[in-house]
Amino acid sequence: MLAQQRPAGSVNDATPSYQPLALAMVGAGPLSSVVTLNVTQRPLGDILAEIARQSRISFAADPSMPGMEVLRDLRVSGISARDAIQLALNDSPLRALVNGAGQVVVTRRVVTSARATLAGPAEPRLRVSGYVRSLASLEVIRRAQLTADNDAIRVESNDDGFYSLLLTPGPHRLRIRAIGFAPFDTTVTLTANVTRDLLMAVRKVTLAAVTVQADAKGDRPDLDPRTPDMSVVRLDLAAVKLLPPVLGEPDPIRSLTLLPGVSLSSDASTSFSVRGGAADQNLFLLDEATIYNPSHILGFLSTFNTDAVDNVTLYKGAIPARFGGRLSSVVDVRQREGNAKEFVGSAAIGLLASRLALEGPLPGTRGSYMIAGRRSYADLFLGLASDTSLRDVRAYFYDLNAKANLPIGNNGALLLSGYLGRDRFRQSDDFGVGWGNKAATMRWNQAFGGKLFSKLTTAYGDYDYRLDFVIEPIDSVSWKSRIQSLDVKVDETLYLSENNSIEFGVQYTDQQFRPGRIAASNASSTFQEREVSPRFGVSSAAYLGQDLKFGTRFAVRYGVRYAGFSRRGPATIYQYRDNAAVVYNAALARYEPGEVVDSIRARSGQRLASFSGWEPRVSGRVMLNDISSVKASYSRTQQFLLLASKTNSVSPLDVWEPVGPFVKPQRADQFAIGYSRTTSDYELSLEAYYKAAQNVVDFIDGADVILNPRVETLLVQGNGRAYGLELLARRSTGSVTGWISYTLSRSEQRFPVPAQSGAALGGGINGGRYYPSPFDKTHNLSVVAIKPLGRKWTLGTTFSLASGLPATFPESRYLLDGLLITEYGARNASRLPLYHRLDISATRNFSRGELQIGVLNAYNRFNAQALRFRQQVVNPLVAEAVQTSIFGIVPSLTYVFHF
Amino acid sequence: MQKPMRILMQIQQLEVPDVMRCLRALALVALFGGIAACERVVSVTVPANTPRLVVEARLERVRDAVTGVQRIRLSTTDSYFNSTAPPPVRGATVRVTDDSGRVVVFTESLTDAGVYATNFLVINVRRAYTLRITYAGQEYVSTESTMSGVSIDSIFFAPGNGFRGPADGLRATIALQDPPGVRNFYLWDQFVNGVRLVSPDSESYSRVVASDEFNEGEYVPEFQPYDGRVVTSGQLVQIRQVSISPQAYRFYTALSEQSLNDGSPFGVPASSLRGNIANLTSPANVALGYFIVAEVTQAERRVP
Repeated sequence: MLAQQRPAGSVNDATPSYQPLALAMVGAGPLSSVVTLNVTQRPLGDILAEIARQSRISFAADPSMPGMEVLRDLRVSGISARDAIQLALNDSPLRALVNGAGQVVVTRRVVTSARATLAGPAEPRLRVSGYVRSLASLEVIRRAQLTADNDAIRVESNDDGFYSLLLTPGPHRLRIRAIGFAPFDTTVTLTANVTRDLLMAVRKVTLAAVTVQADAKGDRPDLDPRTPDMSVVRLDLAAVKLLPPVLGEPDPIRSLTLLPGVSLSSDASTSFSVRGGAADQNLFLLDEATIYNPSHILGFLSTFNTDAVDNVTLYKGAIPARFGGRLSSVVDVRQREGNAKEFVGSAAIGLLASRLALEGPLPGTRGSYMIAGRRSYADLFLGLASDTSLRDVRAYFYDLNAKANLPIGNNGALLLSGYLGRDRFRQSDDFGVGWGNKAATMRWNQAFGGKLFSKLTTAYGDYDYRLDFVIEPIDSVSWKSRIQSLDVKVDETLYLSENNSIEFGVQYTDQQFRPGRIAASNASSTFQEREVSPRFGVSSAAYLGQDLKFGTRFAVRYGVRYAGFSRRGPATIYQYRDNAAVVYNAALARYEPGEVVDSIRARSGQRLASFSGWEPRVSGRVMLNDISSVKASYSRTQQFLLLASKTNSVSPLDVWEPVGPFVKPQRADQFAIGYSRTTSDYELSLEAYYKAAQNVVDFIDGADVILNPRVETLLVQGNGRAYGLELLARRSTGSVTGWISYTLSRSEQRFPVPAQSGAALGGGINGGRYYPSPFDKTHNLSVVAIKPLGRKWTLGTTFSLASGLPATFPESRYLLDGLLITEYGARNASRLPLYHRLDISATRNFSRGELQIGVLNAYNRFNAQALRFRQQVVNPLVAEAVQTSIFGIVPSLTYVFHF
Repeated sequence: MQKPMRILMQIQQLEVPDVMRCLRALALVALFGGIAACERVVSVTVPANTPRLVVEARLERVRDAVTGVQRIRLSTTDSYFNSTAPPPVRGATVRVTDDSGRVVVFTESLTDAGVYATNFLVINVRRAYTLRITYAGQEYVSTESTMSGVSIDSIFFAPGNGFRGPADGLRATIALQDPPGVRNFYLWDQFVNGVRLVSPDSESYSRVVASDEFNEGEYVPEFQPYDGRVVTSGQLVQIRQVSISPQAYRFYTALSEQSLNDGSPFGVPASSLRGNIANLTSPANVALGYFIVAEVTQAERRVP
């Protein structure tokens, strides 16, 4: 066998960069720094770790390796780290290797005869497993790529940083790549199954040109041609912080919208459409808890504080079987676990808000914690306003993120995570509105024998809003709406081999929807409260999936999810004439709510309606050569709830409505094919998709959505279809990094009228024919560039160019009761003007902080968000078209300091 | 203790686009300290259209008064950026039939083009009436029943509630008892010195309608339908309270939604209003507007 013919002195012929420390030429650097030790009868592993600590060398060794436990004496003072290591390893079965970057690894001395006996004809496999972690903070690194033996074996760490590799006995070269971390190569020599954490150093993005070798190939698994992942994008949060922020607040959700297939519906809102889907078809998970309305300031900013978050992954298609519940996408956001090595903090002062983040080791454990907070203070400026009516306005939002990580043994952890965010607006003492999300997660992660990775999760999500109307301090009325959900999940991953892993799990969710309740705030008031009866539902799902690789050319990931939802009592169930909650009146060419003929009170726990279905998911890839592959996928998704929103964009006052006796679940089938190519300079991904959806929702005209107990009488369900072509070219190395994203797409929907009520007349919206959905953007281009200027400054720019959103234009007008009324032409048949915008930011690095100056909409483009038609105030017989834009040129300033 | 009732009525009347507009203003204030979203009047080319018949037909029975003249106004739609009033309809045949089969023909006014009137139609509560219009070879039809009215208990003048219009100044205020056990839908007109106000204030073009969703069977002690309009001493103010049907209520809700649409992300998508007048000759070409038969109560008082 080839391995047996290798000379003993070299670990791997293909990687000459590692050489024995004794032979290496060591210049000025950590290896030459001076160390002093005076220890007796200490394990070798501890001694090496102490040398590494004093000299700050990059050091990797498996503490469980035979020989590391040997007790030794070492008394040295003022000698170099290199000499100290060699002294410590003298007469030991271990030896030290070093690479060009000064990284030191300790491995067993290779004895050819020993390996020959171990590597029998059956080639037994040994397992190395553990976590990929940050060297600086010991936080786990999610979705890192590990390759062994010259890319012959590839695995990925999971969403909790856990990896598992099966290798032949003997030495192996491991290459580890992850977003935002410097490439790390190490060797592992296997004589038994081992647990080993792999530590990676953070890459300084600002100094990308200086420190990063042209070897970032494969550190971004999302576009990697070698994985069957499709339609997945992971945000590099370090890069997000360098992009021009909105008023000084870096926003991962706004950054997501710079990627192909994702489009914002408005400058004022972070609600977005993925591949032509509606805004309520995106699932936001924060540490696995559902965030129902991830927005601040009426949608202007998302609730995700970049200080608290270390991973944002968007699945646009080929959604893994473990996710479900929404039609179009999953945004999986993970909070940071905190630095387990030392206490660190950062604070930021911006124009809009200030932030503070603290993290450090948990006393008495090997664990860590993270707390991050943010509060806006625009209202403090309003106190200075000359307009007295503004002085009474109170407007702010805050976020609080917290996470604790408590290790259990070497292979497990208990993770506690929480989020609390709220917006408040108050105008004088008359009117107030507030809304916010709460989320809490408790999770137990455990790896069993390096083979089974198990997660047990409970998650709580809560969204509520309230309006307060105050006339006198003692007499006020509040209007509250709320949605709560509690999830219990078990997720298991079985690593059978590097070519075969199985995922399975179950999920149970209890949901309560409280659309609205009006009550006196004062308990002594005799005011009689009123409530739209709450809705109760239970959803459950089970899934099974498998990842398979066949040689190096083919890989397939398939899975199936079975999901169900059942609507439960107590509830009032209405019955409608002809069993139709909505009727199309063909003679009058309009929809009308169905006529209630009876109502039944269902008792608690009674099952009112149940839905369930299979959701097959499959994706695969074929490598064309070493650097490019073709991928294809199919996935089905179902959605059991909808946002009862008639407005153009998601508003905080929208309420969620579950499916029920008269509202059917939405279902989508998506097909995609893609091409992906990675070279040392750039990554390229090209995807085409087709998506067909059933039972998508629109609301009838004049529908009173708010506080309506019978939402089913206000909505119609139809078909949606979307197709498009997406291009993403990304450069992660070199003097300019960034990406270009382009989407060519079409998204349409139709609401045909049932045959019995006059479909022959071409009724319904737009005569029952397909028309562009409100989020249809034909062309959507984003260019993102980050360029270091010298050693101190980094420039970030984003440029967007997109077709205008669909608009409905008037056809004619008439007078009714003295009001000028518009008769519109075909729905969404026209377009708003072209959208384009340039944002620029400059970030200066200081030794303990960064200063960021940003300009949004740098050339002050008047981008149309809406075109409306109105009656002139001065001459009521004259109509005019008014174009609204959300912001002109907006500067921002933020200072961040670390401590 | 009774204040919340008034608030509730106002919440109901306020409607969501209004709340959202208020929120949006607050948000922009909060964000930019006053650099609000900008608006610009632009010129737009709109598609041409074929004219449609527009009907404004509200037949009224004024409670405790002699039924006088009933008027129906007919016009057609007009190209969107015209600056003159839409053309009146001449030469149409307008008839109203009650459920006992009595037919009353409306005659075209010689002085007021597009107005068809009669003195001979008596409207009774809870009776069905059918409007038939023949115009340009098309026959239009609509049937409605008379909704029985609700008395205005009193009319008086009180300071504004702060939601609309200037902070100071008196508004016409009414009190009413919502009849228990039935769903009621209201439309209010306010006349100042005999001139009907078009909308609650000079910038929001809408009709003031409400349902008794939150006031079912209760006494509403203070309600200001035109809370954006300040009344001044010496003015003669009349409020007319019209009881409308559920479908008319939805029609006016849709009307308000469309005309209050402010182009913000919280506006509703544009869509055409559809009334209750069918075209029997070519069903796709429905008439626009409404046919309402209602009992009306009214109250008037001079501002002290």
